[in-house]
Amino acid sequence: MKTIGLIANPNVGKTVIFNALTGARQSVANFPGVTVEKKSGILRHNNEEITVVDLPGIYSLTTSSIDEKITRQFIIEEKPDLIINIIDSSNLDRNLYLTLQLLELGANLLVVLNMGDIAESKGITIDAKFLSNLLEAPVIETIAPKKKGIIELKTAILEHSNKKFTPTNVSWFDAFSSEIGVIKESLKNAGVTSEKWALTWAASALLEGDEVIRDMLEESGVDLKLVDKVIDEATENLPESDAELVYADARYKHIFAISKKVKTKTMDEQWTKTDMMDEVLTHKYFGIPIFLVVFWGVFHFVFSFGDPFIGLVELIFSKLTNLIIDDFGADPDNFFTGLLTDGIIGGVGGILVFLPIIALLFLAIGVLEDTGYLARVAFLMDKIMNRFGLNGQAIVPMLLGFGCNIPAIMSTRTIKSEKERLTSIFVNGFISCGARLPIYVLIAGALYSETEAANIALLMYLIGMIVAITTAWILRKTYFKGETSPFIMELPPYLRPSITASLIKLWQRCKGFLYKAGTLILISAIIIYCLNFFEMVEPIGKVVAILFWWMEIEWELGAALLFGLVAKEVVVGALGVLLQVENTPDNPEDTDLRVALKTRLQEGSSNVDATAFSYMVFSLLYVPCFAALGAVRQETNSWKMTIWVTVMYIVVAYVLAALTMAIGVFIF
Amino acid sequence: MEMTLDQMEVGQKGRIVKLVKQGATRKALLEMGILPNAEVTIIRSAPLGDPLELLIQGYHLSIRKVDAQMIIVEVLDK
Repeated sequence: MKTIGLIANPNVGKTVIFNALTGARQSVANFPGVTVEKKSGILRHNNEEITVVDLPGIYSLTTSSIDEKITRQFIIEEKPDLIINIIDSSNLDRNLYLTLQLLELGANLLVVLNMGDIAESKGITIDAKFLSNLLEAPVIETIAPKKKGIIELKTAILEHSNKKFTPTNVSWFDAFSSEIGVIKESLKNAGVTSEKWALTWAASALLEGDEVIRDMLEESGVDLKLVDKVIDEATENLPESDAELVYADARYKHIFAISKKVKTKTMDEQWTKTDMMDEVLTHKYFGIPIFLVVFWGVFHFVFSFGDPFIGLVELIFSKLTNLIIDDFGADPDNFFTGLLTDGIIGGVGGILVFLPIIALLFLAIGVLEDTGYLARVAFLMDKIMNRFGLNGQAIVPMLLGFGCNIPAIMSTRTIKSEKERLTSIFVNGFISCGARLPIYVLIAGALYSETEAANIALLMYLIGMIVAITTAWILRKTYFKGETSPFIMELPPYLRPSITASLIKLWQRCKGFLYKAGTLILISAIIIYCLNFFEMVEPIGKVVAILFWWMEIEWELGAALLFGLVAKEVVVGALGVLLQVENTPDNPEDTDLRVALKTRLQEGSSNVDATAFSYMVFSLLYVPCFAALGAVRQETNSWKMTIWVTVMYIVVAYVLAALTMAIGVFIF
Repeated sequence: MEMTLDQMEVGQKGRIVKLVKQGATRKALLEMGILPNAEVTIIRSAPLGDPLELLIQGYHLSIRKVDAQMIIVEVLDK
């Protein structure tokens, strides 16, 4: 099957186009060798099928971040049949920078002029035909959210993907043409064929000082000694400025020449909606308070909207339990009835109950991500983050971590400084993900009123954030010592999030959660039930409870923490299995886990409030889940670091939970 | 009048003369369109004083004051 790749700057509506091309037929895998998420889907049009790969959003192909490296690798090594380069019509000049680099690379290119409506509102019109002539590549106009131009795009994709990948020899580097020619010759002499490489591109990349291309050529057995000599001679002869300036300048000069011909602007810079919103959202005094209120609002929306649904799902499961008990009888010694009701419904149901709030959390975080507001948060928080040795952009993975740590850990790949990226990966596990929310809701909900429980959950999120930032600061002073990287970030226009895109993203995240519930958590629940049926959990739980003697917990809670190493959902699942065993048989109506939990907490602890807080803090901070550790392993590419991180999580969690207990005993 | 970009006031417009200091930061700035001869306007500074928000090449870019120090500008109007 043919393969095409979607490439664009961030914030130009690439995902909307990807969704429009592939519908829901999408799958997520990884790029070979790295764990950067590779989203691909199938485009079906006129009885043909084509694989569409959604590449990460980047500004340039010069390989300073992993995203850029991967994109370039994809073009060079997988040789897609067609590259779709999406351009924001309202921001033509800067977008064309990447386009030129793609042309230099010799990609078979199809340019999409998207967001024509936004350009129009700014008084900008672009002559697509003329642009197509100048770039020598087909140009299609679209307004993706309105589905305008999508059919035409599909047809054009079919037509142009039939062409072969042919390295062309475009060049806007007149200043270097002779040097490039010489390097090209010496590359040829060194045995590099133009079939495999766009020679002009390789030559000019070498001249630009590109390390990755050097490594790639060397790996394929090319002797670069002669080439190096030529480059040394060439760079000696350079004008006063250096290669990178000459390169950027040459590309932009070419861009301005194109843009002058194809772009007409009938209005001066307008006061846009984005400007208006930024006046408020990044306001000198209100900006940061608004950010706090927005996130506080998100969580309250999640709680108040989700709560009734929790009741609904609970009701369904309790009816299901009753049905089974009606049919098989409520015999506490019957292994199979117990497995069904206490094991599976107690464990898996215990966590599925929280799907509504987790889904709402995913939805809210996803929508915030799509509006462009997170870039403003990075702008607002950069100075604070800088104090802690991080870049403002490091706040984005943290906020995404509120949904799920795995995509959050993956999103760190946009951070260019390796030390800051590793720091961000390390501390992301402290950020309270959606799967931890049920623990707070369950425990705080067992002891306190609904509003109090919501505020306690919020407090847990805050504690997670504080621990993450403080740990980052310590890491940046010690293990990952170094200067902070520069903050160079676009503040894109605000976009109304597309409903389809939000729903597709929501569905993918929920699917992941349901899959986990149906596999990992189901298996854990069955194992825990079986172990418990044969009375093997109690001794294990007691050992854990002894290790946590200061927390004053009963063995069920201890065992739940141990099983929770696998995934945080399992904490609640395990409590569901273990606590209901004792409560359901005599009184099948009284299946409320919260009541059972409250009883057990009171039985164990002399200070229930302190124990509950301490338990929640530990749950918040220790090992996010095996899958997140897997993401850490893949992103750091190091077992040593992964083990290091795991130990750090557990130690920090243990110490801070003990501290919480001490403070709690003092306060309550 | 020439000065460094971080010395410009909010609302002021200038033309970039040159970028001093070589390295990865400069390369990134160049690629984002901060080039000699480009016009730049200071939109605002973040609530805590840093970073700055610029209008460059028709879009909004945020950079820190410390990096703005390496950009020499000629002030166009107030």
